[in-house]
Amino acid sequence: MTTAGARVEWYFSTAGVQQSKEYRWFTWEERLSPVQADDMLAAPIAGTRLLDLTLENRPATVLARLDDGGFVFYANRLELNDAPAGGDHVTRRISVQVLGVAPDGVDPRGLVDAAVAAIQGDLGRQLPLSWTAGTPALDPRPERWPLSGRDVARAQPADLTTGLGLPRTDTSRSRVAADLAALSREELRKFPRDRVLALETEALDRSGLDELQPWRVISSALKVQVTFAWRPKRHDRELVLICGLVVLVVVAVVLALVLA
Amino acid sequence: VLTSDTELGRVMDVTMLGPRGAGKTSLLTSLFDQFQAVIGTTPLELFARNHATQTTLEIYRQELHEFARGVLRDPGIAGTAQLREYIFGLGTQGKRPPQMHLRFTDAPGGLLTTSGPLRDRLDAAVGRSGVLLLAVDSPALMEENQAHHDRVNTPELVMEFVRDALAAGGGQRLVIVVPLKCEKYMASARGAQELSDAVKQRYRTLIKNAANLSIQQQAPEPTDRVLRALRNVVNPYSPDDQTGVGMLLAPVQTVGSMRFSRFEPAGDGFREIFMLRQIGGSYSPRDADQPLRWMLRFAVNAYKDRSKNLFEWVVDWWNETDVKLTSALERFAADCKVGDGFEILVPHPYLDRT
Repeated sequence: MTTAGARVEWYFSTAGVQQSKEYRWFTWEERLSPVQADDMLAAPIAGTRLLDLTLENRPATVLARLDDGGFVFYANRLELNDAPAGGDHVTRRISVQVLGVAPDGVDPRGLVDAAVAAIQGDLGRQLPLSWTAGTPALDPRPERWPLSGRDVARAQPADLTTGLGLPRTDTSRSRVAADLAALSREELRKFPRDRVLALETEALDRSGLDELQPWRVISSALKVQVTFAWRPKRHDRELVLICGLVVLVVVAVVLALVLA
Repeated sequence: VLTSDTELGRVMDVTMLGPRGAGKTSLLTSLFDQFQAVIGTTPLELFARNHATQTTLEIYRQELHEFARGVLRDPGIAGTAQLREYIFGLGTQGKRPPQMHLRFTDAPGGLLTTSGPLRDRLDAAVGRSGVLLLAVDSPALMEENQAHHDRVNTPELVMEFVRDALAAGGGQRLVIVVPLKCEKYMASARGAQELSDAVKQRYRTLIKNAANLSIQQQAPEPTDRVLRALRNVVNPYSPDDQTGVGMLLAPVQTVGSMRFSRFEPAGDGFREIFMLRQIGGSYSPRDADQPLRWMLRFAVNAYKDRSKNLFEWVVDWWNETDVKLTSALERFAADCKVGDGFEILVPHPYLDRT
C-alpha cells in the first residue's frame, strides 16, 4: 500500500551550551511534534522498546521494520564538528540523536542510507545542525539531507531469511554497510514486519541478541561471527496454532458427518 | 515505600530529580560503585539486573575515574532527554532471584516544564516512588551570591513539582536533598555548614510543606497493627491511609578529587570549570553510599511496620526475606551518617534506627 502524500519524517535532537537549552527535538515540518518522536522511541520492535536497543552513553544505530509495515531509523551519540568545542555548561560533549520514520508504503531507502552512513561513522558530518552563540538550530535548506537511497544492481538477491551477527570491528562495519546498501526497494518491501534489519549496539548481551534475531548486528557481545536461524515469531506461531486448530475442527466435523 | 511489580516482585522505586548536569548519573554510578567497597561483612548483594544497566554504569565508572584524574571532561549523559530506568537486584548474597529490586528513574530536568508521554511516565514513576532524590548543583547554590541558583537549580519549579507529587501520592515517602559537586564546600566544617544553611534557606518552602504532610507521630501501636492486619486479610492491597514524609540532607562527593574552580563565559551562558584538588589526585568518592543506607533504613522500617496477608507470609518465609534480608539490611542501614553536613530536615519514624 502506498500512502498518498506521505514521506519520511525526520527528527533531530540536540542541546545548547546553556543549562536551560535542554536536549529537544527539531523537525522541518510543523505537523511533526516531539511527542511523536518520543512515542516512536517507546514503540516496541520485536518485543523490545526502540530506546532500549541503545545505551545512552555509547553510539548505537537501529534500522527496523515496524509492525505496521513502516520503517524506523534511530542513531544516538552522534558528534558534529560544528558542535561547541567546549561542550555544554558542565563541559560534556554535546551529541545528536537522529530519528527517521518511513510510514508504510513510503520508500525507506533514505533511512537505509542514513543507517549505512551511521555504521560507517559518516553521519555526524552530514547532519543539518549548527550552533550560534551556543544555541542549536536546524539548517532550513540542507544540501545533503534528506538522504535518498538508490538501487544497486546485484547478481543475486539478498538472503532475507538468515540473521548475521558480527563482532565490533571496522571489517564488520564495512560488511554490514555493504549488505544494507545493496538492498533494493523490493527486498525492503519483502522484509518481515516487526523485525530489526540492522543494529549496532552494546545494550544487549548474547542472549538478548539471540532473542531479537536482527538481520545484521554488530556488537562486542559477539566475539566471532554467528548466524541466527530465524524462527517464527510469537504471533506467527499463534497463527500456525490457530490454523492447526481450524484444520482439526474441520477434520472432526468431516469425520463426524462421514460417520453419521 | 515498597511496591509490588508483576515482573520484578518487591520493588523500591526511587526517582532522581534535578537539573541537567547536576550529576545525577554520577551519583548513581558512585552509589553502585561504592556499595561493594562499604558493604564489609554484611551478607548483602546489589547487582545490575540487566546487561544494559551494567554496561552503562561500567562505562560511566571508567569515565568518572578518568575525570577524577583530570584527563577527561565531565562524564555523564549529554545526548538525550529521555527517561531512563536503572534496575538493581538487592538481596542476600547468592540469592536468585533477589528478594527485592531497586528501580531508579533518572528524570531529565527539562521534563518538569513539559507535557506529553514522557511527562506522563515521569508522573507515574514519581507516583510509585517511595523515595525522591533531589539533586542540587552545589556551585550554582553556593557561588557568586547564588546568582546562578534560580536559573540552574530552578528551585521554585522543583519545589512545586515535589509538593504536588507528595500531596497526590500519599503513603510514606522519603525526600533526600543531595547537594552534588560539593567537594569544595565539604572540605571544611564551616563550608559544610554553609552548604547546609544555603539548602535550608533556599528550600525552606519544600521543607515546610513536607513537615506539614508528615504524620509527626510515633510508629503505630500494636493494636493498630492488628487492626491493619485484619483489614489486610480482607483486602491485601488496600492503600496506606496514612501520609508521612521524611526529609534528609545528604551531600555526596561523587568524585572526591575534583573541586569547583570558577564559572567561565560560554556562548550566552557559562560553563562550570573544575580543577584537580592536588596533583596525582584520583577517584575518591565520599558518602556515595549514604543515600542508599538511609533509603534502606526507611524501607526496612516500613517493611517491618506493614501488615501482610497469609500468602505474603508464606512467600517471605520461603524467600527468607524476613529473617536474613531484614537482618542484613538493618546491619547495612545502621551506619547512616548524621553530622558533617548530613541532617534530618523533617523527622519521620522510619528514619529512626531500627
